[in-house]
Amino acid sequence: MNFARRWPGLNALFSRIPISSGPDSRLAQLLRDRAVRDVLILTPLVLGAGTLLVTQDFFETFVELTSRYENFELDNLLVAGFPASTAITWFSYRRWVDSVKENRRRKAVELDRDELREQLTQVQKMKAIGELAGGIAHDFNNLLMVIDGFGRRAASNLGDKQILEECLNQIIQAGERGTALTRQLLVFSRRQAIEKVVVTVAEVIDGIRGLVKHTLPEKYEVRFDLENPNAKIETDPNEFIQAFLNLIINARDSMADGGRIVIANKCINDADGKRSVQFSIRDTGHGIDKKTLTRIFEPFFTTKARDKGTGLGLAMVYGFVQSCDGRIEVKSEVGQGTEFILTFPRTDNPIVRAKEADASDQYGLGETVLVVQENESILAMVKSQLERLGYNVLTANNAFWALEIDEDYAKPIDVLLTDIIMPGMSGIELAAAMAETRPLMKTIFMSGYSDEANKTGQLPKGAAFLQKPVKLNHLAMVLRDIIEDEERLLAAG
Amino acid sequence: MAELQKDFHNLKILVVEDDQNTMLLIKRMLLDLGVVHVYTCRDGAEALKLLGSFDGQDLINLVLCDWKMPNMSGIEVLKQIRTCDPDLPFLMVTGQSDVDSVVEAKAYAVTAYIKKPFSMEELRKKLRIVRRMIKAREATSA
Repeated sequence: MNFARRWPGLNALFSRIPISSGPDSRLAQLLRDRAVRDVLILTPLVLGAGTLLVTQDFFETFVELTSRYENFELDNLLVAGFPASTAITWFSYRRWVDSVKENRRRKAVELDRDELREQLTQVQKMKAIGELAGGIAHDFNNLLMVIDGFGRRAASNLGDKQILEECLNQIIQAGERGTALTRQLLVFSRRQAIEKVVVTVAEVIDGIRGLVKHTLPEKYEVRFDLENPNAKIETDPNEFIQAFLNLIINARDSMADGGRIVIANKCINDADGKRSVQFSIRDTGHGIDKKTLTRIFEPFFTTKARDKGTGLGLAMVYGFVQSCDGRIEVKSEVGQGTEFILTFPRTDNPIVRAKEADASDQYGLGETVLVVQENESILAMVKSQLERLGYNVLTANNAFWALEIDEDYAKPIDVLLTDIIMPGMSGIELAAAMAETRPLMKTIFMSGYSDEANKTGQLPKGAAFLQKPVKLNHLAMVLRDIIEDEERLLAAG
Repeated sequence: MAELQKDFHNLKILVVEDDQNTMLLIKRMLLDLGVVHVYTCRDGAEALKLLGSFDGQDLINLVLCDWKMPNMSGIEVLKQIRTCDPDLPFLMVTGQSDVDSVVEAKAYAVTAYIKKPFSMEELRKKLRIVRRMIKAREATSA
């Protein structure tokens, strides 16, 4: 109902009064933009001077819009209209001022809360990074202590073969633990080149079955419930089994007095139509509370005693699943057990098996290998290993020196074994430079990061890639293959 | 000689040497090898200032720097350069007795060494390698 039409005199008196606070035209336009249905004004004679009857919507909009402006002076009021609403409220100058102040106070509190939340998130992130760094330092410190201690003991007992053997075994084991730890960290950070091959569900589960026997005492019942044992996925079988082992160990640890673990699989179609293979591992343990559940994949986060777990297991599982383009979910309630669900893309690619490396038939025949490696210790070690295999070894600390050797060494260089990342000139650039003068030379690139492996598109044709740390028998196999000019590109770690 | 001039004429080389006579000798050798752009500085601070003034297409390709200099040693110059250019070829010019310098300079990724007194042939070889490095970098980044 348009009262202004009924009382034209009143309309003239109240309907066109400009607002002094804020940019009037903008406010007027904002008010005009809303759907105008009706204008309801009652004369001041009815409600008292300076009081209007308006809809709730209008009042709230007006308070919201004017809360931005500092100036409370309201000499005049422009009423352009307001949306139709059944809720009516009264509008006075005092009430408007109080509402705007309340609105501003509420917004300030919300802003403070948002800032605090942001600061808390940052603090939590820094804490997680701090814990990660601390955990890494702690674990490697332990390993270094073993290596240093047993190394010194060996040096002081060079004449005692038994002591030497004991010390060297300890050092080797520490080295292997360090390698495993680095691998776990790299898998978590998704910088580890995992060796993906096509495997069936049955193959990987068979590997798990074998481990379960050694890992779980009889008070734990393990059931396998495979719906699709012949379904295929692309994964690194060793890392897959290692990931499942971590989950099985966690399940075991949640059931101190024994219990049941069910390992199941099925094939599903995702919501977007992609075919997937799902694995689940469910236990009847104590379950995980909601707060802990949000942190379980954090590296070095653990609820176990320090000597019972490093806190890297689930982080590694998470990283591994991501590396296979899969996903992992966890369902748990306190007292109800826990279920981990791992989903991988399903593949129809055929299964191909690579031959196993065996150093016994991988000896060199006097071929010349130029090893380029910035780290002196690694350079010395590789030189020693290759010479033991029967190769003639030249060494250089960087690309410049390698090119100096290239200039001076008149005889053929059969293989260039080089780091990819080097100061001054990369291994790829070095190989390109040497290819001009030695077109028959083969190249093997090395790196500690799978990121560099992803640049295989940039590697020269016929080149190979090895991920550090490289085992001798693997290096021997790759060297032999590349010298014998095998056609397949080796991407091995 | 004409062929040499073609090989090295694009190189831009900075020589840092406090001894005037040695500086002139190295400059002469470089010019004879066909290098057109030879920049010289008597000390490390001057060298760093000069390097800072280069940009874009005018970048220095190689620094030949004496190891032992007053005020700022060659290793100090190397350290400073490495903070902003980890890849710039840096040849440390060492005397026969500077064996320890090898270990220290390696820590800061010195590219290579050239021992005084060096011959034209030795210098030519170093320049040839720098040229190959530049060419390989251009080829792989193309």
